[in-house]
Amino acid sequence: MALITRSEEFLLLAVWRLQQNAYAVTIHEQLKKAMGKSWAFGALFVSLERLVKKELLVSELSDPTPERGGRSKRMYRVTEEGLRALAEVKEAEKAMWADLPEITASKLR
Amino acid sequence: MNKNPRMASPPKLAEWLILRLFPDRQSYSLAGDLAEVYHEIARHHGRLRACFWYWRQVLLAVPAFFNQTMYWNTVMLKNYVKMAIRNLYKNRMVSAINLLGLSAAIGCSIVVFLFIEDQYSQDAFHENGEKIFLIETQVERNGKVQLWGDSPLPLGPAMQADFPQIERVVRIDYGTATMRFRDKVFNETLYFVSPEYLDMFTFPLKYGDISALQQRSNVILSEEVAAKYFGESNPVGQQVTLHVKGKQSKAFFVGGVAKKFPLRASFRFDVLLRHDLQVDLGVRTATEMNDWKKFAGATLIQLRNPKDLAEIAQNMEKYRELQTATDTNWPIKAFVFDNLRNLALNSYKVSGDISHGSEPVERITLFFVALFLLLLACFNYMNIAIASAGNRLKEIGVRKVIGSRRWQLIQQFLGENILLCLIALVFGAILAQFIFVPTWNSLFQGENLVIDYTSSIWLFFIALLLFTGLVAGIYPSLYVANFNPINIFRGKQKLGGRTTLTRSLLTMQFTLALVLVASGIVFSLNASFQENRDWGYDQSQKLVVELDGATQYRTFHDAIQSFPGIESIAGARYHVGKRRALTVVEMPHKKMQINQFEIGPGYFKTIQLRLQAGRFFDERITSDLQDAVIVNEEFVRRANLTDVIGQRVRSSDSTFQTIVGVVEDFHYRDFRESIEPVAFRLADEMQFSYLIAKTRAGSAKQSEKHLADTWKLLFPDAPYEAYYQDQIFAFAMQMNEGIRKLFIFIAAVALLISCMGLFGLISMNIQKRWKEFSIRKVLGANLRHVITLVNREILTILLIATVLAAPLGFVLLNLVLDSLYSYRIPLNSGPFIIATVIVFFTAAATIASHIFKIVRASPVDGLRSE
Repeated sequence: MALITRSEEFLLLAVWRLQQNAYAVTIHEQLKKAMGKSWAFGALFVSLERLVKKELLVSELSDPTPERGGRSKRMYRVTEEGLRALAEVKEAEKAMWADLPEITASKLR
Repeated sequence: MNKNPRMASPPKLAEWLILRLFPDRQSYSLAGDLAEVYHEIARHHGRLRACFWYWRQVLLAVPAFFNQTMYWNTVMLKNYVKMAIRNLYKNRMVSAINLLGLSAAIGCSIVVFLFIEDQYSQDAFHENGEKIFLIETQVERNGKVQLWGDSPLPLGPAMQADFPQIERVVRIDYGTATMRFRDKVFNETLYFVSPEYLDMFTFPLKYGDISALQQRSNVILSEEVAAKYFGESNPVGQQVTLHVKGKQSKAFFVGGVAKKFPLRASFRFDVLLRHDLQVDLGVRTATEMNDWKKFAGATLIQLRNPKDLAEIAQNMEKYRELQTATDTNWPIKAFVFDNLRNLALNSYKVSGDISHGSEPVERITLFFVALFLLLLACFNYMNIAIASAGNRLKEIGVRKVIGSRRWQLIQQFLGENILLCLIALVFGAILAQFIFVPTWNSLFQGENLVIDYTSSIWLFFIALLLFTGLVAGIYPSLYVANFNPINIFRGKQKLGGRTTLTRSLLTMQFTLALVLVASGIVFSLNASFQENRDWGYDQSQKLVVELDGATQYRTFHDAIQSFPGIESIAGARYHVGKRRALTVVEMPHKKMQINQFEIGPGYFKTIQLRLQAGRFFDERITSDLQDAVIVNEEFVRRANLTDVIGQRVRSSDSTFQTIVGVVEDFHYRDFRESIEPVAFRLADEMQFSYLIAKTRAGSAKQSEKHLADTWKLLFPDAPYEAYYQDQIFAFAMQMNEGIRKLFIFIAAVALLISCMGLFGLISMNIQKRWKEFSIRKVLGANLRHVITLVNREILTILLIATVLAAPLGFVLLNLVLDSLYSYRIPLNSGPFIIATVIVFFTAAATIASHIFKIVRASPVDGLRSE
């Protein structure tokens, strides 16, 4: 199978890190922290749904909470397939980086 | 609900949009997520900020929304395309029939589009186009209002002086002269124009500058003319001499050469020079230039603002009064303004205008022909699609059960058809590009259509795709989408319950095919009819030589007279087929417009015009030169004369003549134009412009050579221009030949398309009824039975089509022929009978192979199931 894209990788990692508390708002926060840029919620949703379609994530609805206007959260969880995809990119990345010198700030300059 | 003020709900409209944009299962929790963050922001930064944030999120969601819909549609699209291609491949024969028919029809439509578009975009390249107007004049003659493209000579300058709204005025006059550069001499058409001509019209120059036209010593040449004298080199500054017949020669410098004219220029020029040079070259006198009786070939005005036209048009009365006061023979009723962009479209209404457009009947006829062909091909598709729906029942059922909506099925089947149309469009464009367009251009002289893929043709392609796709596809897809899955799986779905529709489509198809085949036959017969039509005089073996000087006739006549190959010689100032004068004659009770020919005494005998009453001109009667006139039968008819010979008529120069003879009606124009009243008068031989030599049978070649040789010996400086009389009308005959071939081709295409459709339909029907045929055969049906079984329905359809096609074709063809020709073949039932026989025969041949298949097949194969 082809490797997942970087944004997909980040989404999966965020969901995995959040464990039982992964839904759009928390994922959004995580991504903002890591990447420094804020995603549009709509785009985030579409990307998450596509991962679900690809069976790298599964989603389920939680109980509704009052602060959300009585609407339930859609909670995400990484599947076995998703973990394997993550491992694959990590492996590939490691192979590509192997034996290369560290990039430090001084070298960049 | 939570009443806490700090927990206010997000903007209603924005939330509603989010709920609309995304599918149910997503939008609900998305709205929840957004609400949660909204409250968070509202708590820390206030509601306004939160509100902004929320709206921003809605806007940012739009690309994501499109992204998502595209994604899902592509997933289904992939499946649809796959199914479509599999289906096209599975029913190869049927697809090929549809594809071939559609491609041919589309190819023809592309040509027709190019033709019509070409007509509508004539002269569109002139940058000032919408500000330029031609002044036309209305004159009432013989009870009818005529529109003329020329206007009084002084009108242009007068208007320029009176109306500040006018930016430029350009007058155009025509003349002929021989142009010489060193040893090269040719006859050229001169265009005397106002110096602003090149500022008004967008004719860019290849060499030189447009200001060159300001100089009285300059001429500007077209690329074609320049090449004749100078080849490829830059001729600016070279000296040429112009010589107008019977006048003094004058030297000019080449001031510029125009670039190759755009294809869509409805008027062009050969040799351009200043309008006032007409006086210098002796074409007009100085006093004529201010004479309201004299006419300029064309007067065009360019306005600063096209809206000012109405104001100018209202103030034309004083010019009209001025003109009618001086010229009582040709009083102008009104001035009419026509925009430059419409000149070519309207030129059929205007006599003697500068542009040459086609007749609207050509556009209309071709449009309907293309439409008919497209409909034929679309009907094929509809018939076959409905008949073959049975093969896809299972697929439709499964799709419906899985959850395909009605609209989705319609989309799928419509899409399949549009895909087919797209392939046909590609084939059609290839056909048009490489076969139809080149053929068209070779059929009609002067036609120069090209497919320009950078133009509006793409809009036409899209329109064509939508038209064929929707017309052909909408009904079959609706039909299919209405099936009930339960009925399909129970095997209860009734098919072919719609045969009334199939039958009527087939009937319409054959009606159209019959009409088109009949028109092919009619146009073909008409071309032969006109080829053999009597012109009223004899065109064969008449060599016409153009003269260029007062004494040339006598000198040349005397030199060639004794040549044995020449039977007789005559001269003419105005010659049948070349030039005639339009003038007015007065009789005691009537004033009428006639065509006047001024000729030499032997003219009638030489071109073999036939005398109907009275006598021809007689050289021995000296009074004939002043006093005698010979008219045609139409003259007599229009003038309502009972006792013609000896009647006195008063001509426009106020002299009286006596009618001494009547000639039979003859065609001095081609068969498109009607014969009008004609009068012949004698002219002095010093005025002759044409010498007509009648050669003896079998000696045309020798005489032609002898004439040319003698000319070069006598007048080495003058160009020799000679042609046969029938060549003058060769253009019209070529046009007829083109129309004949075009319509035969169209008839063939129409026949091919409808018979292919018939073939496909019958093969499908027979497939369905294979079991029935097999049982019948087992029970003893023979060839005759099979033929009746298959043909009964088709025969009825063909008969109905014949009954419909005959009156329809009769009316349509009469209309087209009448607007194209004044003298054409009378319509009778002949062509329709032949068309019916052809169509019946091809239909029978189409069916025969199927019948043969049934007869040959073993009934066992048809009856064994599994």
